[in-house]
Amino acid sequence: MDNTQPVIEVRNLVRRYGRTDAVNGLNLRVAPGRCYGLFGRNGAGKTTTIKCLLNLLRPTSGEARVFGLDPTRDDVAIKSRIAYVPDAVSFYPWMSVDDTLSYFASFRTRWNRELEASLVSQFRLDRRQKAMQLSKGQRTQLALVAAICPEPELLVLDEPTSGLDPIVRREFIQTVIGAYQDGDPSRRTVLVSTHLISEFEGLIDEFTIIDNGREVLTLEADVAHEKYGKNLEDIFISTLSPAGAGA
Amino acid sequence: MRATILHTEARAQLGMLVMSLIALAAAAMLPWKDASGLTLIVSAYGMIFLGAQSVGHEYSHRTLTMALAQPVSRARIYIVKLAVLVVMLVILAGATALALGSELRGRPAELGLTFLGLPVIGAIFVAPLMTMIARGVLGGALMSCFAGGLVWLVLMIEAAWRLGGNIDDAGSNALRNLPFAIIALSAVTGLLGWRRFMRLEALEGDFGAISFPRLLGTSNQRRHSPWRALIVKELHLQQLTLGITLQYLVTWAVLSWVIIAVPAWSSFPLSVVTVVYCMILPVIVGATASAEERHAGTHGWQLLQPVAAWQQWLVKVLVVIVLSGVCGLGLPMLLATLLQDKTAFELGSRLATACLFLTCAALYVSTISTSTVKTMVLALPIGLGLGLLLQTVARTLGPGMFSSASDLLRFGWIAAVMSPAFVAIVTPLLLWFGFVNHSSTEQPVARAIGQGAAIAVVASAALITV
Repeated sequence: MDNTQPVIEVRNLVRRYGRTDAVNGLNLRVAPGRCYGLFGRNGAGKTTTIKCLLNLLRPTSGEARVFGLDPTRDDVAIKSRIAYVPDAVSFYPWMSVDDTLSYFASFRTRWNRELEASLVSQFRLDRRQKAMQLSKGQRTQLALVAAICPEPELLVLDEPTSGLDPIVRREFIQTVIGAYQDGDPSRRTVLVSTHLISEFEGLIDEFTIIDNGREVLTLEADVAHEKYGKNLEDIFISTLSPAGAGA
Repeated sequence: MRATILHTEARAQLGMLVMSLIALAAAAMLPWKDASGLTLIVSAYGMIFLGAQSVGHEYSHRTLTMALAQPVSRARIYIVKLAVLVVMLVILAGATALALGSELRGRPAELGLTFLGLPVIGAIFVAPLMTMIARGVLGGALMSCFAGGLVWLVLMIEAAWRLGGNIDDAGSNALRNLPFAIIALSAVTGLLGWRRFMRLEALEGDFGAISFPRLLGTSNQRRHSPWRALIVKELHLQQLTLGITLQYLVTWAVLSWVIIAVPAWSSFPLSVVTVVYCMILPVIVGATASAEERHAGTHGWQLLQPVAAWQQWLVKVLVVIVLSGVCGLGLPMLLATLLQDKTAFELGSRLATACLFLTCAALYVSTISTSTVKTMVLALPIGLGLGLLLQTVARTLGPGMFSSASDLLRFGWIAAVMSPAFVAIVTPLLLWFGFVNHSSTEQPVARAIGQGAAIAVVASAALITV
């Protein structure tokens, strides 16, 4: 892929549910090799945007491109280069942890078994346990293992740290995502949607704050720190608080 | 990759096939004078549910997002789903043919093909589309059945207009045309189903949840009485019931119009439709009540609300019984008044007893299940199994031993559930066990087996007593 070509490009994206505009004219551009934060309050339109990128929802209007491809036409080509961890993780009730990982591995041409073993042991997951009997946090961990082992070019994480305990959360953010990107820094991109911004401080290269389905602020993290002299969470709060014009 | 999807699909649909086969076996074993008709109905019911399960299990297990996010074409996923479905349907159709045996051999081949083949076609081409529209197995299966019923109705009306003959002529004519109509419907729904799956959005949750008017639903007032809140919650859980009631109303209105408009059709057995509805609706009301909460994941925190568990259960039971009585009995009787349908009136008190029993029995099954679909699927073999047990007891004791035994041998378990004394003995036990199950977030198998044994003993004893 051409390094100047954005991994994700969204232009004037609109998605309506009935009369409600979940996403309303959103623009987004994510360059390769970056860790990009999509910040917003609950119901801001983060999950809807991600689902439009993955062809899990059809945009009402506007354009979404992933690796320069149209998700509605080239969904398999796109999905073989990405991995996704949804906000609500569910697995087939009859599958164990091991079965679940084998199941996901069977869709991939590439699967790092060593990484799998290391992450399963790091997260202390019991391979024989039924996946749906795991706690919410453990299910998220399992979904993360399944997402990282194929070593995708783009890792899309939707509220990945909700339900994780603080130790695992730190381990996950610093070790797992950090190590994932370090594996091939110029090629591996992360799009993370969250409202727990402080967790990702230091990892995010660039971010967009969205509210009511619209882009409110897009900045490089370093530029934001310099410009506002605040951490990302404070910038987020002051941007979205009623008196927060100009952060 | 294909093998993985194949294996997953087979595993996802296997449970439904096994339950259908058990129900089929129970139906075939019932020493009933019209067991073959019941076997065919059970088989068609199983087939349609299998068709709905092929896509619907992704909604039930909440795995649709994960499934669609995998790097494999949707066309391939859908083809594998349908291929596995075809195999399951062939097994079920084969088992049905085996169960019917000589019954089937004695009838024209077209008739066998019609009653076995059409549900297969409907399951493959109609049920998946309906399931994607309804976003759930139960809604999909019921919509498919409704579509089939509607086709039959349209054919009957068309035959009546065209031939101007009596109901029997119209019936035979409609039966002749039914395969063509179902094939035409399947061609259209098959294409639409394919198109819909290719464009399927990862939306979960039931389609078009009904918003109650302010009088019942949310209002600007911040706090309501907990009783009111519980009643409104219970009514919201019963949206499927309201949908089916509406379907019944439409069917009844069309049929009544035909009966009035075509004098030769005045003998049309509308009461049969009413009785079938009166038996099905209470099962759906009961089946939805507890299982739907577990399925929605709200059961645990609902129990944690500062209202005693028994009070919550009491509200549930009352709402379920009242709703079942109003929609499943009151409404049909009211409509029967309009047409002066004497048969429905004569059956009224017996139907009331049956309605109460079926509601409570389905409510009990609902408490040992994690979704309405599982309840409906479980209710069939459990109900038929109980019927078989009761008939075996009646046969063993002989018709002279007690008054209801001869009725039971003639009319099967329906006679038992229409007996007020029987219902008065068994229903409290069902409700008590239901309360025990509903008050716990766990569902141990051993407890359910113990309860099943206790119910079987009490039901047999009740049969002897009455």
